[in-house]
Amino acid sequence: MARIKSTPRQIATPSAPTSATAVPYKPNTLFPENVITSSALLAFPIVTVILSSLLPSDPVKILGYSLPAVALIQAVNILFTNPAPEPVAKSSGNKKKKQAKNTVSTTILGLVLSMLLTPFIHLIYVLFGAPVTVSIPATFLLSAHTALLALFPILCTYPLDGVTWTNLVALKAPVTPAYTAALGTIAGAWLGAVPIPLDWDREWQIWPVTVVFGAYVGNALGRLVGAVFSGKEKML
Amino acid sequence: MPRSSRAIPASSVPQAHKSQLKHATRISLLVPVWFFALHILALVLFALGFLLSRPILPDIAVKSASYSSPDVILPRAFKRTVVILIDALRHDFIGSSGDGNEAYYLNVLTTPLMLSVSQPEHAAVFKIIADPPTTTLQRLKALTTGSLPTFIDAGSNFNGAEVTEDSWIGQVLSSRGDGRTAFAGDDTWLSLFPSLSHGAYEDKNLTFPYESFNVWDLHTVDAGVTSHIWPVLERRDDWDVLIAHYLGVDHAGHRFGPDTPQMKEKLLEMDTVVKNVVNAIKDDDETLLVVLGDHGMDDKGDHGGDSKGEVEAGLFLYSSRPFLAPVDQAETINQIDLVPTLSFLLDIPVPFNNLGSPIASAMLGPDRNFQQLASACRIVAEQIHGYRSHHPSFEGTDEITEIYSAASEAWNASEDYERISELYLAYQKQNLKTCRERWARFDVPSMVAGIVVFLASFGALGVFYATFDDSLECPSNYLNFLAPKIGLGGLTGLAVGAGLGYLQSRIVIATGFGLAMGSILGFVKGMHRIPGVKSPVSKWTVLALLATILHGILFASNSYVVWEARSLSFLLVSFGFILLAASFRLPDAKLRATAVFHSLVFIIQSRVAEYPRICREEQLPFCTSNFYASTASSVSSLTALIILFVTAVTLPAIIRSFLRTSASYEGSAPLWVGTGLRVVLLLIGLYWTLDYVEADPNSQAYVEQLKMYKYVVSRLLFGVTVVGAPLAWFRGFPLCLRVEMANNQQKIKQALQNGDMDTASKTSPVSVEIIGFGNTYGSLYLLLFVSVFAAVSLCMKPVGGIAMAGMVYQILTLLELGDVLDLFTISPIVTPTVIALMSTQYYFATGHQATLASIQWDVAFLFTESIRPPLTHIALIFNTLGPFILAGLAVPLTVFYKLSPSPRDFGASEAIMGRVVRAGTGAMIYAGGLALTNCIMTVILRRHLMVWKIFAPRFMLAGATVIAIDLAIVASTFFAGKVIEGVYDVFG
Repeated sequence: MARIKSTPRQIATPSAPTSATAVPYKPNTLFPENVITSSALLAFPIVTVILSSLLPSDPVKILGYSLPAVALIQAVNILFTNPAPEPVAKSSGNKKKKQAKNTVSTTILGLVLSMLLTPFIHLIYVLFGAPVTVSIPATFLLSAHTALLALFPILCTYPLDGVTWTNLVALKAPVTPAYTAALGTIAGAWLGAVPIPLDWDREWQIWPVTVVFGAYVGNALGRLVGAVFSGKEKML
Repeated sequence: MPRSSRAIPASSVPQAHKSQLKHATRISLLVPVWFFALHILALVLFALGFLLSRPILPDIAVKSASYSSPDVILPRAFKRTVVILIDALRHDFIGSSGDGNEAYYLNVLTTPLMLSVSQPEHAAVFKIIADPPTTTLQRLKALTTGSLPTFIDAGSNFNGAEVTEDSWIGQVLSSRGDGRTAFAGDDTWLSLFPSLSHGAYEDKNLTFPYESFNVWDLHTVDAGVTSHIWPVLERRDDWDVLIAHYLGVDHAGHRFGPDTPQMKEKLLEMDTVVKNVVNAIKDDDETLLVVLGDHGMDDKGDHGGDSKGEVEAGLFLYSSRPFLAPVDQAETINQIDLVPTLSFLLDIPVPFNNLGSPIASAMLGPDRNFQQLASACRIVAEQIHGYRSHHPSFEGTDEITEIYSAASEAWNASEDYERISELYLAYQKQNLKTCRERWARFDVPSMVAGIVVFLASFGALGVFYATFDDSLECPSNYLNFLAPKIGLGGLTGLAVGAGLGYLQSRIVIATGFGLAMGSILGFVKGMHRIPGVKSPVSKWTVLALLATILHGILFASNSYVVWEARSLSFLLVSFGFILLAASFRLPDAKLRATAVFHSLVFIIQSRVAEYPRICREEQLPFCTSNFYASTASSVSSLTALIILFVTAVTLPAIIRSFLRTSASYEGSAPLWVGTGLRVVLLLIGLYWTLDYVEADPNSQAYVEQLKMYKYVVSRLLFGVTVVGAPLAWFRGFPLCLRVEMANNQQKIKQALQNGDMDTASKTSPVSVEIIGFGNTYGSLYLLLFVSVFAAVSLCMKPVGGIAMAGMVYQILTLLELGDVLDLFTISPIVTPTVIALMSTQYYFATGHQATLASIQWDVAFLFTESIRPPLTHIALIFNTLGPFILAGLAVPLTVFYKLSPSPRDFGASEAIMGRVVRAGTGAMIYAGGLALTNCIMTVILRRHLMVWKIFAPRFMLAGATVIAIDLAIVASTFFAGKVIEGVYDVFG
């Protein structure tokens, strides 16, 4: 995996968005890369299978109970795979320790931010056609899961500045597992809406089971794609 | 913006250029007209094969004089009849013994065959051939009226399925009295014959309907029917006809398929039912038992089409009295033959519209009396002859009438009843054959011909779109070159098609097909001479095609057709998010902010447009209508009226804000939009307020006055919007420009003082500034667009009017985005496609559905109290197809929006015309592509259970869409030509 050795701060330079070429994804120094990636890649298919088998019975309950577990898995993943977007340039003696501390605080901050952004995701689901007045808990929990899957890793990986996030929304940011996982989650959730209108009368067709399923599968696939193509300049 | 000065070439002759431009705009019209003609031909070819139609006669039969003629001897009638209809009872379920172990459905329902072997004078099994469409509703009509029901039974009302034709049910009810029927099973019967529900005895109900909707439920209906028929069977004297309709076999077929254990279980249950009924009437020789299937099923258990398994149903007759001449096991009869047979066995007149023949075995009786058969045949032939002489579609079938005359002569002349029967039966068979050919058969070659023409015109549109891009200079020269090729090709094709068609006696289809394909071949031949530049395909173009494909794929499933409005909103919101992502790519921060804002507005508009709705039957209970005040009324709510007034005030302000971005709210714009449009919209609001008050029960005293005021308002508005405004636009040419003179003496002086001789000599002493120059084309065309919007809005119900205002707002938003993101030049097809996609969304938002029932017939009386040809039709067309008309008219705006003229540049004006035509073909690619996918899906799904309820109406909507959008493109190309000529006149 080819990576450009540079600090994430470089992205934040006030240049035009088109000139952003730096990759904020850096090799992990605590664990061997392949171990982390493969265990992370395994975790979500397992979660997907468990969730999708349980969901149709009582989506709200299952989504609610599984939320902390998903948050924990994500946090652990991020802690071990993504270093904090802090400058590593000032490499002092206890650099490793400092970095680990930074990572922890960034992860907590990311978790809080993604929870705060959940209503915003809820709104996006409503814009795509989710019910407005009914099934509010289900949609909200779906949004929370989406936030954990898509937003949380990005919030921990990328610096919080306008240019970076403009590039992220414009699909112009460089490929990283966090970013492709987010895009995969979005694509999966989008495709997850497709079977809902069919008149098959299956219990798994109730809102939001298919979307949750799609988001998780998309997330896992996106992660896989990101791991393979990581470092590629641009998405599109 | 300053008017740029440009050196005029000495050789230019403006007058010559003017007429040249006029010619260019005229010849450009040929493109949309030709593609429109191709689409029409394709639609007609397809519809000829698909939409079966038949006129209905309302006459009721009475017993003719022949009944009392001394020569006529009829078989003895039964007092009671038990009809057990097992839905989708295929013939081999009861009629085939097999070896035992091949299939789950063989050798299970064995009682009929065993009885027919052991007691051939009491029982018989027949193979009955049903006519397509093999759907229950159509089959029940056929089984009761003896006719060949098609999808569109012209003459019946659209709202109810009630049978208005003569039927044996109707004859029983009228001859034996209301209430002599008992019924249990599929509630379709009650919607066909509401009077069946009168069956009652001493306040005890004898009618037990069950919903037929849930295909997954195999047992509820059957268990219910079985539990109800036993007590009814015991009370023999309370009814003359008992109908029991079982659905389980059909549902098992749909759900699991015929060759499954579930089917075996179901058939075993049915066998028990038949056995028990036979036992129950064993001691009663006045009761006839009829067990039959309304249609069969194919190998997958579905039906609706015309395959062998679907049309072959089983029939079993039984009585404890010997009444049958023993028959061959394999005897095959027509399903409708049951109608005259039952009429004789029930002693009622043969229904007026009957086309079937009496079943020979039942007429002959156990002693094979041919006089009985001949008598029955004669009566039926008389009835059919009477029907034929009343019916308009039998002209030119004299050879069939001759058979009738020959048979009647034989009846009068001889007593060879066997031969007479044969003659009469031949007449009936020949007549039925003609009727089938005319009414009841999908003409697959014709449908395929339609699809081929759609496909070829889709390809031609694509080739045209790809070739006539901006790199092609003088497009009109090429059109001059292409037009005769297309015409010649068309004429050749017409001649060849007519010739070949004459030989194959398919003249109409072959001629149409030849004309269309010939012109396309001529086009292809001509295109070889036109230099093609391979320009790279933009991602937006791919997206536009993807949108067309995704919309088209919806037609593959009945669920998506039912929930199309929501699916489209989903697609448009998705497109909005793509616009949002693209907006974030803009390097300029200010433009980026503008684009992001409009993208968000577009997303919200796409979602809100899904909100106004009228639910179709299949959406219940997951849908609540909100188009009217309540689900049961067609009066608008007060809230809707208030919003309508708010819209009337705000929409002109919104249009103003868009015009102001190019400083174009000048010249005629304030008067036209700010005053004119606002007053018109407020008056439309007034009309609906009067309508609302009129509907109020408290205002009964003033109804007449209110009505008068209402019509004054609506007719005034009609005059202003449909006649006045377009006329004013054509005559007055309302440019949205303001000319400002500026004195430049000061500037020159200053330049001279600075020693800047260059600037001083180049600056003219007086300069003219034209405010709004940057959107000269767009603003001028927008005024016409707005006036058509007002006309369409006038014909909409209040909520529909609000939705149309939303559509105008969304189109403007999209145009602004197209300008900021430069979509018009990157991919001229993407904005027209999205506008056309929006039109279907707004079709639903204006209170319509893809059903005939959703047509808002009451707007026919918007302007007049009675039906008056032009007014009524305009109102209905604008109401139903308004969104498509507006979308088509909006397409030139994707070229004109924020386009400034190039003064004295004839070539530029012609190039603009070329771009308008190209944008138009973009929208036609969408409309034609949609119709194409719809036709393909309709052919594939023509045997689908829901073909007549869901797919056929959707096909009709797709046809109306392509016609409306194409015609609007033709009109908009014409108007755009006027705009280009006019602007050239001013600046040329």
